[in-house]
Amino acid sequence: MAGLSSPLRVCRGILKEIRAIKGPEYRRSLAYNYVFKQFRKNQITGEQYCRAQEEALHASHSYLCLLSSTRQQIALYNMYHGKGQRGVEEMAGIVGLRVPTQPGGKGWENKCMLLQQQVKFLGHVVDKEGVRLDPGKVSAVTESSNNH
Amino acid sequence: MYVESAICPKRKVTRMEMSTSRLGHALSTQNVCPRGQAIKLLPLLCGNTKPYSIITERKRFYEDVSISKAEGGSFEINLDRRKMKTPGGKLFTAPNEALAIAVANEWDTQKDTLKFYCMHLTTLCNTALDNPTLRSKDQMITAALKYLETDTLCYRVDEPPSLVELQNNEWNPVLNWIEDRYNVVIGSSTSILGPDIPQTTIDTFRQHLSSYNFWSLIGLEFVITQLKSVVLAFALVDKHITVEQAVLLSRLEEEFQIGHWGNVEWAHDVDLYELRSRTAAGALFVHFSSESSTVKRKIMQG
Repeated sequence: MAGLSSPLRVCRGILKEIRAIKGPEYRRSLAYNYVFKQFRKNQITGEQYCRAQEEALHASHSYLCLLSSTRQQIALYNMYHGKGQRGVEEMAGIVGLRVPTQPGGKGWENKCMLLQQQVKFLGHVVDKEGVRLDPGKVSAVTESSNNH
Repeated sequence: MYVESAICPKRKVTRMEMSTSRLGHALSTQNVCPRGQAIKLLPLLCGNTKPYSIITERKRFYEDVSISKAEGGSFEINLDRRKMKTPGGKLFTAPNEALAIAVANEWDTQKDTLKFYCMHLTTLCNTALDNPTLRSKDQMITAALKYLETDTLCYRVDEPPSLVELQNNEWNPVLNWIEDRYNVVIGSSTSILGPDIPQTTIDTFRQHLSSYNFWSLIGLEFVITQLKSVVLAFALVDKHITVEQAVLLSRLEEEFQIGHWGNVEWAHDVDLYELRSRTAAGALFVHFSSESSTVKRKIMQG
């Protein structure tokens, strides 16, 4: 089984990773105790070549790889990608373009009305019966004539 | 009299949509959703017609992670006294202590915000428990064996000669090993159609794969998809090579080009570490799901 480092190194590596994760409390963490116990357990057997020992070593090697590569992946991601996205305007400005303005200005979503039964549009009221005069257009005249 | 009735149907997003959406699957409110936090969620709580907002980040809402043994020998994970659940709503159970501890450690690793894309073991366990795409063992075995036809190790290049030599030196030993171990014929080819895999080979592998249980198959298929090679996956799971070696062999051509043209840290290294962590998680998952350990004490004499 080429490429496997000695059990001591693997154990040390895993414990170092756990310490990096947990900080000073690492001795009390579940993972630490379990890993320690496993290494102890596999040491006890007196056999020269023990298949279970090899398997346990391989598994612990994989776990060390998992912990360290996850840590490095996050570190690299934070370094290169985690700066937060620049805004759209800034990105456009980099290449010398401008973002087109929304026709309704900001907050157009609130003014947008969908699935209405009746809508006021350009001085008319439009609904399923057709287009009608908007009473608001003539309200000034009718009310003032009522007053007379 | 005109009655202005602005009938604006308030659509409540159903649970079904939550669980089938891409992110909802990973981050649904069923996943131990505690006292409502300031999370930008779908509008099922507010009921307004704001556009769909993606869950941007989830803060770490627990202090302690611990495991507890349930009846039946399985283990559960507790986040601050609450039991962890899968995205599908089921109680999260791991078949053995080692896997439970590893998953608990993943959750423990998260600082401030939860990065679900780094919690590979959790994802694998959730897939195994929920089985959202409802696959059977046979479907998974067939899908896994399909990769054999396009196995990375079987596709060789014609030139440049140094790459050809590198591929022969690195990949041939593994191919020979698997051919000896399983008594099959695979071979490699430089043509675009790939090698001709005889049916007996496929049958042998199918038989071997059927001996794995469902959880191990999920892990194995994950490893195969990551490494893009059935041969390498078997070599890794049979503990013939380490994770780092498997990843190196899988990315052999890329490493060759990196050696020639240079390394781009923010692309190559990120890919490398991501592939390593996923493969390691898959290999560990298979190991934990298929092992069973017993301790037999020798009687001390004398």
